[in-house]
Amino acid sequence: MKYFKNLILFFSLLLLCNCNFEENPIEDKKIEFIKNVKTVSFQDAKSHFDMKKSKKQLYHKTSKNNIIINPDWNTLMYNDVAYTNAKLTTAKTEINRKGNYSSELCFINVNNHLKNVIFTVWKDETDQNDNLINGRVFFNDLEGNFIDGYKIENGIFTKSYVIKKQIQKASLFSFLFFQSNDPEDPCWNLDVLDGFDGGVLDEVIITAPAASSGTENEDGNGNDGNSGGGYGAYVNGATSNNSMPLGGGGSLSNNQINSAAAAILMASPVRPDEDGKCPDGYVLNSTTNECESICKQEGRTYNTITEKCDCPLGQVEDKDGKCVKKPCVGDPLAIVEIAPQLGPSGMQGALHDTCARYNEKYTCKGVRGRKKHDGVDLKNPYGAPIFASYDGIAKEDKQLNDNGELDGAGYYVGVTSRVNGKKIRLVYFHLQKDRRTSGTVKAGDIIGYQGVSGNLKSAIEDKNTTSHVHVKARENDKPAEPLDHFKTKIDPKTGQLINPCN
Amino acid sequence: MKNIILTIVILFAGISCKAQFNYLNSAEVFDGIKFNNVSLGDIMIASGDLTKMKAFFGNDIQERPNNTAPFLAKFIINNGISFGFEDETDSGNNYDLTYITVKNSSVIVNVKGLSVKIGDHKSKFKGFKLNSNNKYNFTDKETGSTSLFFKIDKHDKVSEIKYISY
Repeated sequence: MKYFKNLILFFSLLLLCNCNFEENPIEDKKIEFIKNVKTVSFQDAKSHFDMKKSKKQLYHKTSKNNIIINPDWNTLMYNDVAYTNAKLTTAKTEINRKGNYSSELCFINVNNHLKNVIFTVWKDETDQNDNLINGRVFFNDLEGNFIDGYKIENGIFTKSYVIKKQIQKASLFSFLFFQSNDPEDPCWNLDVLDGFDGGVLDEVIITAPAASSGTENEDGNGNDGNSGGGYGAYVNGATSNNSMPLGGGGSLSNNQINSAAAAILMASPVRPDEDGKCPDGYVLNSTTNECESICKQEGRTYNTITEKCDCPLGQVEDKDGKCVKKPCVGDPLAIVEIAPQLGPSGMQGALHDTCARYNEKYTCKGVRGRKKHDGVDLKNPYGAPIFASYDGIAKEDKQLNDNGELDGAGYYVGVTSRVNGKKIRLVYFHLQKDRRTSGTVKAGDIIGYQGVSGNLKSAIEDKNTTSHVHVKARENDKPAEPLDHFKTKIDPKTGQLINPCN
Repeated sequence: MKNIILTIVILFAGISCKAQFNYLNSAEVFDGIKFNNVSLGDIMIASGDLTKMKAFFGNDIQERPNNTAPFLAKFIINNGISFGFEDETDSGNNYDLTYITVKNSSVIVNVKGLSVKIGDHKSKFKGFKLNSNNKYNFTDKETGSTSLFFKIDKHDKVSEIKYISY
């Protein structure tokens, strides 16, 4: 009986010691565009590494189980990264591991904070072009802390490696947990390096604790680093970006793997420096000893110049403090769509240069008593923002009738820009009174919010039309087709969408 | 059954929508709408010319610039009526009528055979549709871009008369 109990205990401990795959497949979500990402120059990468090297005391926590990093600076190169124009700076490096792996030091600057990671790939199976079919990738920081790891099957990141909480806690039984000397042990804990006798030892020697601080979390699902449960969601998004060269059917190219590494790196936790200080925009969480972003709202990043939390790239903060999607440059709304009249003129009544207005003094395209409609009506719900289509000078104003009451265009904003050598003036009617803009604006800046000012209120009340912004265009001071100046292409004769802006 | 209900709903919605307006043909707009016996068409053709407007409405009518509009604009006004004109070409030679506001009972407005002034009882509009905003709204049936409305107050009297060219 006693023997049986010990057997159970032994197997129970064995269960605790293994790194496991999360059985949930990784979602193939695309990473968000990450703002304030910059390329790290070769010189800065090397300086950063040398700086770490000079702080040996921090990493020499024990005399054994060191991770030995021996970069080959002759291999420094820049790599394309999905979703950003910044490049991932890499240098091949030797580390004291055994097996068919290759490792790189990766560097990138996020929010003016240089982040780096050791990225290791085991290529279990490759195609004829050395694209990865089956294998594993691991991410460790320079202290050896495990950040993240993934299994790749048929060129897809399918499972993430997790380290069970118990491993971190039950150090008493570490001889059971980390006794494996298998260099391909997916649980890359530095204790397994004991038996490795190769490598050059005159480079930075970084010691990791037996269990890295970044690998614990409450639910025992292993390394986290962010509240989303690892970075698995990012990696397939990063590798599936169309801008990256595809590895071919069922395999990943080196570019795609690097892009995934960059995604992990950009999303990985920030740790305090040797003095315990966090970079600008971060505050130290004394419990986790990680630097937490000052910007709590999802997707926002700290702007070190303005000392404010900026919306993610491609978004702008609205009057309610929410980040809203910016339209394409050249569009005044996130979605450009014609708002047809509800009356008899329908779509034609909302388009420019149609004979959709009554006036006895005109004959429009052969029709007596008809006047051309000047401008277009674009669907926009009440309260929704309106954006500057181009960089320019904005001027807010209001149209009054002879009695001093709001009339016609109501509260409006005109933006004069220089586009392809032409003076373009776009005027936006029927805005709300508040938060209109005057002065210099950039494309994508909010210049006002949809209202019902001027004659729109009565038109809506009388069910002539729905909420819309009326846009008039002037090209070199002459009436022009507004749709010609939008990035979204709409047929000016039918109002039908030809080509969305993105 | 579902289709029948859907059809009824659509028809009802259509009827409700149409019930907002009293439709006019082009002759009823240009010739039939009159302000103190001057047709809307003639006012449009006058194109904001002060001399012509004086000929229509008397020498007391005055011109005032409107510096608040996005494009060149002016008012032509007297005590009883005001006109808004805008020149979207900004040339000063191409003013178009944008609105007419009747200010008091000195101006008689004709439409569809009706002769109405501010203060008249709504019974004058017998047979015409009153919309949900308590307006008798007359619009052209081809574009819907013109709106001559008579606002009815709580005493069932005409309190506001305005023509808008959208």
